[in-house]
This record gives sequence, structure tokens and C-alpha cells, in this order.
Amino acid sequence: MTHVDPAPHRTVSCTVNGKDVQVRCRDGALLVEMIRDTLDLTGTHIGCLNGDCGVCTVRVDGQVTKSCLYLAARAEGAEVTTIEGVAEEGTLHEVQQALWNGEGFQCGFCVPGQVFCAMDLLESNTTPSDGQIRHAISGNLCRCTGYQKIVEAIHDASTRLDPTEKTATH
Amino acid sequence: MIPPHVRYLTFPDLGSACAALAAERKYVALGGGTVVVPELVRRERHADAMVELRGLVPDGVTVGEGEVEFGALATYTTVARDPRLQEAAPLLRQLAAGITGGAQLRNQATLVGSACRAIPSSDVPAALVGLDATMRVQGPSSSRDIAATDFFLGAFRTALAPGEIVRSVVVPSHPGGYGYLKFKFSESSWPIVTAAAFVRDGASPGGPRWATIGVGGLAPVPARVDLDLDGSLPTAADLNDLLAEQTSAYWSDELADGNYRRSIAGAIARRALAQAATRHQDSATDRGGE
Amino acid sequence: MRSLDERWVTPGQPVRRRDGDLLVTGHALYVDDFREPGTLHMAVLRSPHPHARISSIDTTSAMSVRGVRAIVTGKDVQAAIGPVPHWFDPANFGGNTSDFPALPVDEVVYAGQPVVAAAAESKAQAEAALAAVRVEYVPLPFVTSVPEAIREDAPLVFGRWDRNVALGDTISFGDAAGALERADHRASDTFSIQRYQTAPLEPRAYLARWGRDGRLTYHCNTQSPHQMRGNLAAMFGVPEPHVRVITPKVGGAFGHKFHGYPEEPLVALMAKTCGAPVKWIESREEAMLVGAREFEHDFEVGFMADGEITAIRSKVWSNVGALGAAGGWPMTVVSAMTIPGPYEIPNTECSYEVVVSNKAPWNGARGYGKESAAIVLERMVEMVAERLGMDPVAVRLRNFPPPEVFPHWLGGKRLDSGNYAVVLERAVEMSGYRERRRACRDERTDTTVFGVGIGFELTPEGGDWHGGLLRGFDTSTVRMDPSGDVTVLTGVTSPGTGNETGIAQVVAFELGVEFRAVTVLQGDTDTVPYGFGNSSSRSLNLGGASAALACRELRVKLVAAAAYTWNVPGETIHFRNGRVGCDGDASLGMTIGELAYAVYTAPMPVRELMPPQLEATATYWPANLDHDPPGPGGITHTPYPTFPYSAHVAQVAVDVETGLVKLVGYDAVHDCGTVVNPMFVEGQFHGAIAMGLGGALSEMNAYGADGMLQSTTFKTYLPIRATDLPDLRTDHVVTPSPVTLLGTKGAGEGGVGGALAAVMNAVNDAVGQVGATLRRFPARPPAVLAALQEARR
Repeated sequence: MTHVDPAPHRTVSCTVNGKDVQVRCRDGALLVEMIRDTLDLTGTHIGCLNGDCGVCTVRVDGQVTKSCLYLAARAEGAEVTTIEGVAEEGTLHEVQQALWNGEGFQCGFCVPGQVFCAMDLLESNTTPSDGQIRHAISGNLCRCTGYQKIVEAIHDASTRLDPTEKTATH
Repeated sequence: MIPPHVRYLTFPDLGSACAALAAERKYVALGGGTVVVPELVRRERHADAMVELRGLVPDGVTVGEGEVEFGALATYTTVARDPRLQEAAPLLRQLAAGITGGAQLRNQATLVGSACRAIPSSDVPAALVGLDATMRVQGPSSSRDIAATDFFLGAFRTALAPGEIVRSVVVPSHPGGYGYLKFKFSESSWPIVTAAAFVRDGASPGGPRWATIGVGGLAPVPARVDLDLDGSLPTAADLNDLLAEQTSAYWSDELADGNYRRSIAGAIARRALAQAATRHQDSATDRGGE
Repeated sequence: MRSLDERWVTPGQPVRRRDGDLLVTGHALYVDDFREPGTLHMAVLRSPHPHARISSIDTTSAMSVRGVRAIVTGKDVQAAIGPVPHWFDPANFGGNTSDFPALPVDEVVYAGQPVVAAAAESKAQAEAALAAVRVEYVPLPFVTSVPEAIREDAPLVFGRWDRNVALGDTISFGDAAGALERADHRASDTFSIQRYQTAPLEPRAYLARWGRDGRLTYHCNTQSPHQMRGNLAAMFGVPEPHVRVITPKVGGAFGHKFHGYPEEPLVALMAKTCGAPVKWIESREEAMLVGAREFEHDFEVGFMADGEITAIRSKVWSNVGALGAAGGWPMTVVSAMTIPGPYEIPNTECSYEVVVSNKAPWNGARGYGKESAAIVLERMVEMVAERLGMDPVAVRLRNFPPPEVFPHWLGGKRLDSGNYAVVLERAVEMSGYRERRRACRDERTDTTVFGVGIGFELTPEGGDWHGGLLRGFDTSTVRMDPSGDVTVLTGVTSPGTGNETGIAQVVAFELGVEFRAVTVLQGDTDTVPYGFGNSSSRSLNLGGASAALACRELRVKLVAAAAYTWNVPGETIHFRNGRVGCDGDASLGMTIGELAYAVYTAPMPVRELMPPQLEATATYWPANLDHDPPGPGGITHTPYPTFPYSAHVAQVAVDVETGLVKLVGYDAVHDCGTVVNPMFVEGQFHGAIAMGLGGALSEMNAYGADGMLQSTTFKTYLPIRATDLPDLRTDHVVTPSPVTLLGTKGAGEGGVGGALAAVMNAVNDAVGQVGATLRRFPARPPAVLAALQEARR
């Protein structure tokens, strides 16, 4: 076996962090490979390539997605948001702010998954219970924090995002 | 990474996609993708091309008279968030909401995909068997229905012929009480034993109340128990005996061997049945009966 | 929002990490994020056999795979570079050893061992090339378990050894045999701890390139950049400074990233062979090969009717796999050395055997054997309580040394300080342990039994080992520029713990400068002083303390300069909030920047300012490292200067029909001495607890009878997740260490052992109500159900 076929390629057009991009990639390229290797957005990490750890989480058309399970080819026409696209014009999202203020991460490798899943939760539930928060991040491993300060930080973010809380305290 | 030679193919209609799958042994259908993609990455599956099903099969849920049809690309999130299913298919709604892997997995993975992979310890196969589901199957030139009880032939093996794909799965929505239990070691774990129980009134197979229980993870294919419920519920030991009658070989994997699965299956089935019986009782009370 | 003023900070404040904005926005760079044009990618072909002779390797067709630039076998390695230096050689302790070349020439000793490496333009091409390599093996008999490995007729992992034991010894104090004889009661038992690891989410990563000047630049996520540099220099025969090791952001390490792996030189060899940068990123499956822990314990305790424990005899066997050059196996020695932990037990006899097998080698793991000592000790204490019908808390209190005796020699260790009773009682109170213990009996149902258990852990820290580059001192340089801004260059590294923030807190406070004026640089061997990186909770103990010492040297110069400028006595000078002032004369004042500029520019005939360079380098070496001269076994008897400790209470519910253990409550109290950043220390404690709980409940690198690793993904390894855990309620007690400059004892490791022990005791409290005992971890349902079924028989 000495012959390897040239890899089939295609061009994917999509929006990444609000910018239209056209990306040439292998047919079988994973979305995480397109994001990291072609677009050089290295904030999306790789921890298992098996859909288990969640560090490659992004949003595709608003839905939180493990980008190691998702083909780049399928992102045709999609709106993709990576962790680099979360803070708008340099202002951290409340979830990012809360995780930073509350030591909700240590090494930072799992941050994309925790941020996106927390945002996803808080968009539909501004007063989550501990159990709901833990369920929301159950697809994301963290080996540093024991999850405790992540859960606390998401609570903290929820109180800052909750409109009733805002009128009560400000 | 997926081996570089693997192609990604789209087709204008389902028939031509099925024809391609029938013609090429090393083409694989791409549904949600959460099973196929990592299998290709890990070289556990070898394929020359992935055949895209998106756009060719339904991705919604249709609630009809006495039945619910789940499109092949309906994700667990779609199922879990559909308020109509609280009435029409509450067991599958609960199952979908509890799928392991976080919202990311549920946003992408599908009921039908899980059924087609036929992983013995997955949630879905036993539930479909317990619920008397029917698989609507499309081939290159014809379509057919396969009862869930006939669909699962072995571990990772279904009744699908080459080129056939499941378009949708239809689940009857008769009134009754349901119970669903997924037993696993920890959040990271595959299910070890699952039980989907359904208690209903009626004359079939006999008696005033009867139950079906689909038990997953115990054997390479889902086990199913049908029983009349007159008086008290069977014990875990009773159910273990009934399950043993159904089961010739037990499933073993890295997490649990067949002996372990065998020793807990009755208890898990009993718990699901108890939930179902309680819900059945409650709904009967609500209807003003009993 | 935050009320803390981050301009002026002091040690003790919960300052948030300085790199947090980069991390949380995805802009921090880990090794795999460095992109160099023309980088090649390495892939490794691994042995499919646990033990085999390599009869031939044919790479001819692989070389013609598109994009392939080099293929390297054991013979190529042998011709080019020396073996991988040991992290710590068993020969230092008089044990058996072996050389570990990066690729073997004729024999593989574990499944997963690298055999051939390929570099290509893409990882896929490198993998395709390896798929075309033909290796013929002749399988050989193999051993995977301790009982198999230590049988008389066992196949040998290393043919030149007499048996499958690298090292064994007994560490004795007092007369354990006599004391056991004289004890009112004796009890004995066994406990097994599975093979599991730390599984940092960022796998290992190396990126090597050789410059035209013959220098090697090597990005990697090692815990010890300087020792990695030394190893690479030794293997390639170049002067040590010709290698530059750079450790950028690290995505967790926990011992997994100690050096000594075969891929380390392979990447550099490939880069040299190809004349291009070469990168290798460990896959999760490859990472799962790395073992850490697999202990069998056998122990006996002698005690008196009043609960006084008088003797311990214990033996631990570790299954360290095929040894390797990385830093795992000494955990066995540490396990034996840690006994009797926090208990005043005068007679101890602790034996250990480091057993090799045909599993993949270990590397270090947070806890480093101390956790397995905690398991043994805490099980024994509970057995004593049960036998005597005593309160388990009372048995512990009976055997703790009282606070007034510290510093205190105990079991070959000079314990620095502590109040063990206060910490235990705080945990007992927080958790409602006594009430819960009663309630557990009342709440029992047909299907569920409840239990509550204590785990008390002593965690020797700051390891300093003779005979290897694992030392208990470290060095920092502090430099003040003419602007008054400060650069700290330190030999300790951060695996993601944020210790650079803690060090900056210390420095900003020592010099009275603004927090953001302090920059801490780590992990670049071209710029930082020679140091020992990250291990044994040493960052603030040593990095913080050495930086503080250097600051104090600078301060002498700054005081002298200010005193000269204002013509006032030096004692009146103070530094606060970025300004220099004079006590008693409020009219005098300038910024520290103005003073620094003056030092560099103005002529000041002051002795302390000759020369007027505001830079100092200091090495900190804690007191309390009193090494006995190496004995016959070569063992240094007090390699640990500080002794943090913690008390844990776990509450569980056990499903008796399935064996499922659910953790329903968790409380713990920690004393790690003076706390520089309480938020970080608490985070470290939570993380260590969770790692212990994962090991107690689910995590495992399981092997099949075929000698192959079964747990190749997280789906079968079962790392602990958020929904597996209850709220972790923690608290701190501070007894400053008298033997470190800052009073710190070290945080990071403490908690692993306490968590394991607390779960063990809680599960046994529960299943004990139906007559069962769990004697092995993890407490996965089949193991627990087997224990329950055994009791029913």
C-alpha cells in the first residue's frame, strides 16, 4: 500500500463570529479542525475528539455543539460562534465575568464548554437551581475545580442577568 | 481526525442516497453524526464516504391520532422540548431529556440514529421495543415497516438491508402509565441497564391491567416482558426470572459483565414498572375511575 | 460587582487571576495553539502486545506515503540519541533499573509502547504512513497483576532482573512486632486501589525546532522546564543552554506532565531529521495509557482498650507497569513513608514493594501516594472504633499529637505545626457528623442504606529528594526598572493553578507597588533562573518566598536611596500604595518610580547602592529539610518540610439492589498554613477533593486479561462530572508554618486522600449495616454489589 488518494476537499461558506468566511477544507474535516487549523481560532480546544469532554464547544446556529462531533461541511450556511466571539467589543459576557471573578476555572482549558453551556442555560432559565446548573454543564469535564466554583459562578451570573434581581438591587 | 480519503456526499433525494448506500459497501449514512463521526475518527469504522441524510429525511415530530412519528433527524432536544409529547409520548420525552453528554449531544444526536446503531447499552432500543414502536424504512426502490421487536437482531446489528435507512419511527400513544429508568454508574457512564415500562388497561393479553417492559443493556438485543397485572406487582426476583426466560446470552462490556447486568435487571425493571403503575393509578384517578 | 481594589493588593486577599481575561475569551495560548509555518506532525505506532519480541520492522512502503518526511525506528534512535533520563532512578534507592530508549530495538514490554514514529505534513499523513509500516512480533508471556508478577515462576518484564520487583524496603520506627504483641487488641485487613490517573484535559504536547545556530527551541507543557531542558541536552549531546524549553499556558498537569516520556526526544529527533518544526499532541487514547496508582495494601493495627493505637504493621505493593523513565513509581515509597500520618503511633513497620508488570508505566498523580496512606490509616482508625465501640472521632482525637508539641518528630517526619483536633472538630460540626450517623440508621429502607464517614489526611509537601533533580528549593529574580515597574522571573511554573497571581500579590506587597506594575515570568529556560517547576504544592512555599527574599534585598537599596535623598534615617522610610514616604514628615514623598529612576540616574554615594542596579536573585530553601545521611537503602528520611492536613466528612446513599453509591453530602476543613490567596486555595482544595472522589467512585484505567487497556475513552474511564457531586462545603483553619518564610504549607495536593478515605469509610458505614465490607476501589456498583452479596452468603 504505497498510494494515498489526494484528499477530497470542498469550500464551506459560513459566518464565524459575525464574519463571513469561505474555508477550503477536507470533506471529512471536523468543525473543530476548521476552526483551529484553518481559521486559527485556537480558543476552541481539543480534549478527546470523542464528544466526551466538551472543551471544543461552540454554537452553531445558536445551538451549543461539540465541534469534534460536527463536520465542517455541515456548517455550510451556518452561523458559528466560538469562544473568541462571545465577548462583544471587548466586554466580557456576564458568564465570563462571573467565572473569572469567582475562580470558576483554573487552567482554562474547559472554559469554552462551561461558558457556552452556562449561557445556554441562562437564556431559558434566569433562576436556575444547583441541580439545573450541574445538569447544564454535565457534558463538560473540568479536572481543576471540582465544578464547585463553576456552579457558584453561574449562580452569580444568573443573579446579574435576572431582570427581577436587577430592579431589586439597582 | 477522519481519514483524509473519506468523502462527504449529498444527494438530491432519498432514493438516490439509498441507491448509493446500497451500491457501495463502504458508504455510511450520516444522521445526527454523534456516533459515526467519532467512530471514523477513532478508526473503529472504516468508510469511503459519508452520505448526508439532512434534508432528505424528516427532522420533526408529528403527533397524529393515536401515534407519534419521530423523524429520523429529530434530535433529543427536539423531542425533550416538544410540549405536545408530555401527553403523547412522555416516556420518550423523559428519555430524551436524560441523554448523557450534555445539551451539545442532545442538540445533535437522534432517537433514530441510536436505534440504527443498536448499541446494546443505549437508551433507545429497549424503549422502542417496550413501546411497540414501528420503524418506517426506506430502501433504494421500496419502503417497508419493521416492528421494533423485529428490528434489533444483535449487538450493533439491525434488520436493515444494505441501502435501507430508517426514515422515521412511529410510536403508539395509548393512554396508560409509563415508567422509565436508566441505571448507569455515573454521569460519564453508558447506561448499564435501562427499563421502559408501560401499564395500560384492556383485555389484551388478558386481565384488567397489563404491562410491557423493555429492558436494555441486559442482552445484545432488548429484552421484553409482557405480563398481566392482577393484584400486587411482581417482585424484582419475579422479573429476573421472567427476564431470564427471554435471555439466552447476556451483554458484557468494559463497564459491566453479563453477571452483573443479570443480577440487577429485575430490580431496575421493577422500579420502572412501579413508576408506571403509580402513574397509571394516578391517571385513572384523574379520569374519575377506580 | 467586585469590591476588591485590584490596584493595591496584599497577601491574603482573594485577588482574581491575572490571566483570566485571556483564558475566558479563548486568547490564551497552549502549546497546540503555537503555529509555525512548515510544521510537521508526528504520529506514533504502538505495540499491540503487552510483551513481545520485535522480529522485524519494514518501513519501505510507508516512506512513499504522500507527505511523509521521516520514519524512525528503535535502531535509528539508538544510533542518534541516548536513553531517556530517569525522572528519578530506582537505582538511587539501590533498586533494579533499566534504560528506556525512546523506541525499543528488539522487545516491547507493554501494549501501547511506541515502536515506530513518523513525521509528515499532516497528522493524517503520518498516521497513514504508520498504517503502512509492517512490524512482526513474537508474543511473549506477560504479567498484568501484582500476584501474577511476584510469583516465583513469573515471566520477567525485564530479562536481566531476578524478579519483577524494582525496589522494596521496610521503614521502621520503634518496635512494631513487640507492640502488636503487647496490644490489648489487634485488627487487620486489606485494601486495593485501582489504576487511575489525573487526566488533565489538555493532553501532553511538544513542538520542537532546531535553529541554524544549532539551538533547540522546545515548546511543551511539562511541569519542569529546566529538567526537560537538561534531559534533551543530555540525550542529544548538546550543551544545556543550547536547548530552550518554553512552557506556555498549561491545561492542567497534576503529575501527568512530569518528564520522562519517550515522545519527548522523539519530537526533537524528528525535527532534527527533517530540518523543520515538528509537533506531537497526545491523543486521549494515548493519554489513557499513563498509569498512576494501583496499590494493594495489607495492614495490621495494635491498640489498647482506651483507643490508644500503639502499633502499625503494613505492606504496600504497587503495580507500576513497565517502570519507564517518568515520575510515577516513587509514589510507592511515599505511601509507606507517610504512615503513621497525623497519628502519634510510636511503633510502625511499613514495607513496600515496587512491582513491575506489562502494563504501561506510571507517571505521578496528585496525592503522590500520600492518599493511599490516608486510606490505610483511616480504615484502621475506623476498625479500632468499631472493635471498641468508640466514637470514630474520639479515636482520632485520642491519637492526635496535641498542638503544643509542634514542631514534632513523628514517624521520621518533623511535623511543622497544626491543630488537628480543631480541624477535625470543625468538619464534624459543619457536617453534623454525629447526628447524621444516627440518622443514617433510622433512614434505612429496603433498597437504600445510608452512611457517613470521616477521612483525615496529612499531606507531606515541598518534596526534596537527594539523588535526582527533585529539590525542595527554588529561585526567583526580582528586577525593578527605572520606571519602578517590576519583573519577577521564577523557577516555579504554573500548571494552570494561577500561582503567578499569588507571587505577584506577594511582590506587590513587599515593594509597595501597584499590582499591575508587577509582571511574573515563568516557564522559559532562557530567561528564568534554574528551577524545579511544579510539584508537591511548592509554588508559593518556594516561588513566593524566594521572590519575597529578593524583594527584601531590593528594598534595602530603595530605603538607602530614599534616606540619602531626604537625608533622614532609613528606619523612617516606608513604601505604600506606590509611594515612598517618611514617618514623621508628611511633606516628604515621591513615587516609587521616581525613586527607582533616581537610583539608576543620580549619583548616590551610598554603600548599599554600589552598584546601583535594582535587581536581586534569591533562592529559598525552607528550614526543616534535615536529611539523614543516606542509609544502606539510600533513603533520605525527611524529604518533606511542611505538612498541611485536612478533615473530610462524606455522606453516601448505597442502593443495595445495584451497589450504586451516591454521594449526598460533603464537608471538609483544610489547614495549609498562611493563605496568600484564599480563592485560589479553596479552588485547589475543591479540585483535589473532586479528584479523590472520582477515584473513590468511578475513575479507572481498566485492563483486560489480554493485557490491553480497556478504558481508552472517557466513556469507560468515567471521570467525575458536575452531576456526580454534591455541594462541596469547605472551610479553612490557619496555623502558619514556622518553617517557611511566608508561613505557607502548600496547597494543591491536600484533599485527594481525605476524600478517598472519607468515601471508603462512608460506604463501609452504610454497607456495614448489612454486614458487608468494601475492600477495594473504585466503589463502582459491581464491586459494591459483590461485597453486599458476599455478606448475604
